[in-house]
Order: sequence, then C-alpha cells, then structure tokens
Amino acid sequence: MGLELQALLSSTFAGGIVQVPSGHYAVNLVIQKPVTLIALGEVVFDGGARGPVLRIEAPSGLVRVQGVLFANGLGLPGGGGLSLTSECSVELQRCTFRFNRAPMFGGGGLFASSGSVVARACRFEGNTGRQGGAVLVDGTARLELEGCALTQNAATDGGAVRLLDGCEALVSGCTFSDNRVVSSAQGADRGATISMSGTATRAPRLKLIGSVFTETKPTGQSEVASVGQWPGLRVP
Amino acid sequence: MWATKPCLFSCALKTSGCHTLAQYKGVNRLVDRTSGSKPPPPFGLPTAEVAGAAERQTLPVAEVHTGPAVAKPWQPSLKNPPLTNNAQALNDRLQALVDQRAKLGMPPDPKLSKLGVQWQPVVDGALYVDGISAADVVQGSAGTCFLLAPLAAIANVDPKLIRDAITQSDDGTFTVRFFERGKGGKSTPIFRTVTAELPLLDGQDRVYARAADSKELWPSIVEKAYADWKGGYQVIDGGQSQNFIRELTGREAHGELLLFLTPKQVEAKLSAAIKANRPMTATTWPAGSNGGLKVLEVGLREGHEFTIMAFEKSNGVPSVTLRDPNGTTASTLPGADQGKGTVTLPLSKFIEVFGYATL
Repeated sequence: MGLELQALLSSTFAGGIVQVPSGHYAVNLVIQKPVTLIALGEVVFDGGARGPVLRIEAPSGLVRVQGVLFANGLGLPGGGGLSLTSECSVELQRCTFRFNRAPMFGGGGLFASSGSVVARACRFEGNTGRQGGAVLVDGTARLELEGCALTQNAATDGGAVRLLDGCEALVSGCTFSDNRVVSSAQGADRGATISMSGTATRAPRLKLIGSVFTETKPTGQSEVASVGQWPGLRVP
Repeated sequence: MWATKPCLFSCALKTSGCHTLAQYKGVNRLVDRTSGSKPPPPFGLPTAEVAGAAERQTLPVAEVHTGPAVAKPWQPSLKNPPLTNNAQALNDRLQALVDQRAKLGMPPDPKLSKLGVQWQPVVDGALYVDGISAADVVQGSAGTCFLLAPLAAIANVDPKLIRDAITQSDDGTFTVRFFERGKGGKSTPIFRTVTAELPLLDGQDRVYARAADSKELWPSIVEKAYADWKGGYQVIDGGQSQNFIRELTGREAHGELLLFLTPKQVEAKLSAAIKANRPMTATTWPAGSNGGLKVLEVGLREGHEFTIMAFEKSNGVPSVTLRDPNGTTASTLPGADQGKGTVTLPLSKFIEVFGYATL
C-alpha cells in the first residue's frame, strides 16, 4: 500500500488532493509538489525506523496534510516524522507525531531547515531527538504551532522544541507537558521545553502567546526554557 | 483559583509586552496583557533578538564571495567558545577541590591548577604540516562527525577550498570564512577570528578535533571557529553534513536516503559525485534502527558519519572506501585498516550499512 500511495502522490498534479482511506500504512513518503493529503478516518503512516515518514521537497507552493498519525519514523539526520528541507509552505492540521526519533541531529517529530510550517491542533507525543525531541527548526525556517499539545518528548537540548540559527517561531495556545532534557556528555543539556540558540551573526526569534507549561524538572536541570549565548536570559 | 506572579518569560526572554504568569491549580499559564497598554511587538521581535542585541557581536558583511578569506579591520572579541558539558563538569569538580582546600586553610596545590581542560596554545603548533589531507582530521570528544567527516572529504577532493577558507594573521590569530545561508538561499560570507589556543586536557592532549600530526592545527581551528560562530562546542553536538559543506565552501550538497535507491542509482550518484569532484560522506544506521545490527556486524560505529574516500570498480565489482573521522576503526573486515580508520566495502554492503549519504 505504501508504494501505491507514493505512486499516487507522485502522479497527482500540483494543487491536487489525495484522500487516504483509514488504515495502517508502512511508508516513507516524499512529496515533491504542492498537494493536499487528507486522512479519511484513522490513518497511520508508520516509518518502520527506516527513515523519515514524510519528506517534503516541493520547491515552492503549499503542501497540506490533515489528520495523519506519523509514527516510528527515523530522522536521517533530522525529522523522524516529517522533514522539510525546501522553501515551500506546509500546513498540518489535526496530525499526530508519535514515537519518532532523530538521534543524530534532532526534531524527532518534525524538522524544518527552510520554508515554513504551520501546525494546528497537532499532537507531538513521545518523540525523541538529539536537539529538539518534538521539533527542530534550523536555518531560516519559520514555525507556527497553534493549539498543539507537546507531551513526553525528550532530547539532550530542548526537550520539546529546539530553535537554531535565524529561524522564527510563533507558539500560541499550546500545551507543553512532561517534556524532558536528558543529560549528555557533549550536549547543552538545557531547556526542558524550549531551547534557543543563535549564531554570532543572527538569533532565532520566538513569540509565545497563551500557552500552558506543566513541566516537571528535567534531570539535573531546572529550566523550562533557555536562550543560548545570552546567559542572562536563562530562566532560573 | 488563579493567582498571578511576575512573568516567567518576560524576565527570562525580555518580551517587550507585559506578560503575567498566572497559576491555576499548579498549572502555569502565560497570559498576554499587552493589549491596550502598548502595541504588540511585530512577529519575531520579542525575546532573544531584542534583549540579546547589545550582547551579540555584529559581524561585517564581506564584499566578495570567493577567493581566500581576508581578515577584516574590525577586531572581534577573541573570547574562546563555551566547552561541552563533560569538559565543563571536569573543570567544575577541580575548582570545587581547589575551593575546598582553601576553605580548610590548606595551601594551594600547584598540580591541581594544571589539571582539567584549559585553553592553551599547542607547543610549536603550525597551521599545516606537510599540506592538507583527509588523514589529518581526527575527531575529539565532541559529537562533530557531521563536521569532521565532510572536512576530511573536502581535504580529499580539493584542499584549496580549505586553504582559501583559513587565513593566518601576523598576530597569530586565524580567520575562518564561512557562508551563512539567508532567505531564498542567498549566502553571505561570515568571518570568525580565533586565537591559536585550544582546549587541552591536563595541558597535553587536545580535547576536541585534532590532527594526526601533534603540531598541525587546521582541523582544530576550523572546528573552533565553527563552534565560536554557532555558540559553543555543546551547540555543535550533532548536525547536518550538507549544511557544513555549504557553510564552508559556499557550494550546495545534497543528502540521499540510500535505502530508497536501487544499487544502480547509488552507483550512478557516486560516480557522478566522483566525476564532479564533490566531497562525499555517508552515515551509518543509528542504534535501534532498521540497519543498526548490520552496522555492528561489520564493526563500525552506529549513527556515525564517515568520509567517502573513493568509489572504484575492481573486476566489475563496485566498492566504496570510507574513513572514520576518529582516525581509527574497530572493523576487522578484510578491507579495513584499523590504524588509518579506513574500510573498503562492496557497494551492496555499503548500502546495507549506511542509511544516508551526502553526495
């Protein structure tokens, strides 16, 4: 079924809609054009720890995904559930990212290094990554999390969300609960929920609106959020 | 019941608005109270950007995109980048010992002051010894295989790119040129100037990247400058090799998931990369993944990036020669040289063991 789905996605014209009937699909998909993917019922995309569940490489335009559960993906090197490395825009609605991993770089659930991602009413549960258990945003990418729940994700830096370089993030109406920073020898070990660090030349930008943090203390650390390179801005 | 207290994030992230952290049954909720008092800040402007502006250094933008790196008249603060957790923890423990001795009225122990991780210049260190080669690069204790494997790959295919990126000044400092990718994919040169001081353990061994020759500096200088640019050695724990290749050379590099390619496609891509003289790396499957056990079977490290040194056909059988950036390998395969860290695998085995390649 996975191959058929990939063939369907590849043959759909730009701007087309692909409706996926409920079921469990063992897939590692690539989307290279702007399409809309809609789950009809309970749709599980299982990455089988063989690579990212979905890679979006459309050079421009808008890719929409609705109602899909992304599970068991493996980020190589980033984004076990979904990896965005092109300049297109991605809209995720009512999607769930569960038990995805990215042990070499980060963003167990979602990784974006360029383009923009808007996630509405999505859930990130039990994902792990080196940097950013649920989400890693790098480079010039833009992220919006709206009404999302991020629960029990873990990383060595940024248990739930890691923001790097010159990215932008808007987090509104989200709930962060029980995300963890796991101690590591080399890593920064900070930001149980959100960790940010820029370079010497640019900084990530984050706007937080009306979000809930029900955080337990991570191992050996007591930070909910931290901002790298600006030690004075760390949350005690 | 709701109760308010000073905002966790307005003090921490210096938002320009007036946020309040309200607590309801132990649950923290960030409430925005800016409406009416002040116009809300434009998207992206609060937090780190606003507060950190004074503390950050603004680097000059170079006029040229190619050619050798040129140190700018602007003088950066030559502060060494932060160390990794383990190095810092060791130093903290030693400092605690020193403090304890002082507290007990004991005389200072001169031996203690020489232990730990300290920034020191390498004795008789030289930027290059016998030119630049992939065999020079040896990984240290930081998780920077994503940086050192492509660095060795660049040294393997075009050492001039490295020579152009590093400039040594008369005052003993080094300026490394990187390219920062902005919106729309446009790259801007960034120059980072660092001293010759490197983190040495107990005044002897380099903690992070080193060269096979104990006096050669260039791999350590590139890693230090990169850490300095990115915010510290702990920040560059893990990354993307194609990013690093682009950042050091200004040239695009592409990642490929080998599992989804046929052997013929992999062969074609490797041949094309060899022909175009592109730096190539490959990453073994991480632990717990589909191919993790196959990596262990051939004695290589899981989730580790290697330099692709060569792709050849002998007697019609294509094979790939790889080098571990650690400079050694535990592999006992017939094509392995443990001392040099190289291993030669048939293409079919290469595709089984390596999940991802930058070509």
